[in-house]
Amino acid sequence: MRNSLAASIVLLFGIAFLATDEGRAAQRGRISGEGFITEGVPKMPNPPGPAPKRDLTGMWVGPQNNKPDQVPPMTPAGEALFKQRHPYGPASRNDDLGASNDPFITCDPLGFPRNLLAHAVSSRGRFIFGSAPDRLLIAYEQQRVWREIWMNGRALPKVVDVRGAPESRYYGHSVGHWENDNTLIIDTTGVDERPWLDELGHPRSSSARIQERYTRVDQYNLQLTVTVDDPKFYTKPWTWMRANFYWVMGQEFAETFCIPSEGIEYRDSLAKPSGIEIK
Amino acid sequence: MVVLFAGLIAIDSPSFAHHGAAAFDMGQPVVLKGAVITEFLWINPHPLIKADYKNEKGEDEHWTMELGSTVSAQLIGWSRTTLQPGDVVTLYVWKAKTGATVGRFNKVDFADGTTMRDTQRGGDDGGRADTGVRQ
Amino acid sequence: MRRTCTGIIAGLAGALLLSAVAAGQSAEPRSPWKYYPEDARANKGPGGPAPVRDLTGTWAGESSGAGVERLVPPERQPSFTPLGKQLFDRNRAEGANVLVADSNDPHVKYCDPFGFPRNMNDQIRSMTITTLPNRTFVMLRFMNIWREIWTDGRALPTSFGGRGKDVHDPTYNGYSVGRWQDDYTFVVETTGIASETWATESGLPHSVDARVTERFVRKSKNDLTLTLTMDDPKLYTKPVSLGEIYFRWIPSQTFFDFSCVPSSVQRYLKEMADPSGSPSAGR
Repeated sequence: MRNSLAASIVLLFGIAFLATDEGRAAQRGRISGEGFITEGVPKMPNPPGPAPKRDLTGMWVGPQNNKPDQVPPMTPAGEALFKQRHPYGPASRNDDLGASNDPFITCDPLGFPRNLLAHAVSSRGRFIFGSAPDRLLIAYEQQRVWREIWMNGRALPKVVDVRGAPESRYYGHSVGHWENDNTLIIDTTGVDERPWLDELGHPRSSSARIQERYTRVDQYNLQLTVTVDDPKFYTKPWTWMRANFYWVMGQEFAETFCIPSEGIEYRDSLAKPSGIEIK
Repeated sequence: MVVLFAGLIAIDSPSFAHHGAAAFDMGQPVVLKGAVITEFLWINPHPLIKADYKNEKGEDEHWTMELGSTVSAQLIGWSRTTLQPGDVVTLYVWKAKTGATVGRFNKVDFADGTTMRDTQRGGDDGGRADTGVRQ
Repeated sequence: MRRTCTGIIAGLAGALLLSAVAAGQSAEPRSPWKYYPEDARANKGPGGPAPVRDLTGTWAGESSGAGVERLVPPERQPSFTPLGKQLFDRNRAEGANVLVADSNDPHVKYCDPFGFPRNMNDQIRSMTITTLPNRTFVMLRFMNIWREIWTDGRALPTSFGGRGKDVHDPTYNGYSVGRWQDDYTFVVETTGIASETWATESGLPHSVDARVTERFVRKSKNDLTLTLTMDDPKLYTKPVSLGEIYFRWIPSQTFFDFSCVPSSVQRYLKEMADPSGSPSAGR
């Protein structure tokens, strides 16, 4: 019940301007330049007020100005897994869709935290926070997935996928708490190992600990830092994302789905003419 | 092990609510004694159990069988770790009419004397934990 | 100090022992991250009065092991128009007479999203509802996707597809608006649903102009009932019932994860469905 949520109720609204939202683009006529903080993200008309306390209410769009650390050296196990993966797209030098085995080509779930990168259609995605008893819920525009963040002080599972333990999930198991009036910390573990960590195919084990730090700088700006600590596959932890998210003026989502039948058709129509066999 | 719950509805005739039971020979399950699990795919629409079996002629057979969806199976105690590659078990399976070594899982007897069943077609009532559970 | 510590330890030991006994298992501690259907089932009765205008929380639906009443399925033989019948006959739903390998259900073949309203009457084992000031989200367990219902009084869009500024693209989940009819009844209207989706597992078609009405009735703290009706005059001569679905409150507010993964579905079709069901395999 809402009343029982106490200080951890967070409602987030934001508006995201999706570059492929043709209706909006047609209305505005352009999506960058004056009046936009970055491509497709309109600037709010008034200067931002101060950040409300312990309140991330709103819909946010990003990531913008992402400045992650370099991925650290991997362990032998990490390297072995990474070698099996063949990415595609602007993030890699291999633009040949037909040779890629990125599971997202045929719409397998992106998983966490890759879904934060707001893959495909545009490089930006919106998300919004809601709440339910003892939880924050986050609804993402990309693939319309949602995550559940437990705010009642429970501990993360120590282990997953062994007899008696919880199962790993594509979006993991998450707990959250407020570090101070402006900063929400979310800790996640137990993410299924199959989804890639990023567009390049870096691995991520189910024992990885992934931490998000959301700092509401002011009314319209939210900073997100994501660190990954995964000793099974990496020799040290690192900052996987350091980016800004901006308040969304119109508060509307687009429906963004990767449709498997379309993905498979697209992949196969490319592969056949080029003669590349898809395994 | 999960306690099996009493008071379940027994089903007399084979009937998968959402599946072509027509694909399988529901007369008598094939028994694969001493089968070795090679893979247990915890997927939907149906987890798949893969096992190698040496038949009476001494030939190697490679079997694939499906059981109820992950959620339905979890209700009666299954998880992705219930079967591990290398496990030596006795598998009961309703074989496909096509003659391929594939079928619908019925139940498995473990070396320690325990048994795990399918969600609806355990040969009896499947030991379901709920009534009317879909596959 | 020491007495308090002892008391706490004794209390904890007692609680652990009790929970182990209750679980009927040997010392496997309960994890808050797992769903125990027996706990949900043990939560009998109304649990208290229904909160006013509030559906927030995590619910167990059909085949959840929570002792939920069996749902009333959608109509199987609605009254079609000629066009409706034509579209219906093209859909080969997997079932007693159609093998998996022969189905053309895009969900069965590819793990395409159900879309609405099928995602509310098929595999509806659990959902979580969250309420924001101007909209309500229904977050579905199966496929881990959400639906958005606007409660700010806006009107539904009326034109879909084609050109022009006011056109709205048809979407898998459609466009939804909702309002409280009284303190315990939340009524949602949806239209603009992409017509390639099936309205039900049985393959009932729908046009983009179909209008689906959901009535959520909160009967008590623990009970929620949903009825679905579809009005689509192009394809049906009268409104079609898409079922009545019952939900029970889950005390732990946790349920199993549940999804299909497209690459897994492809493996299933290749390694299981085709060998057991494809006509060519039998020759």
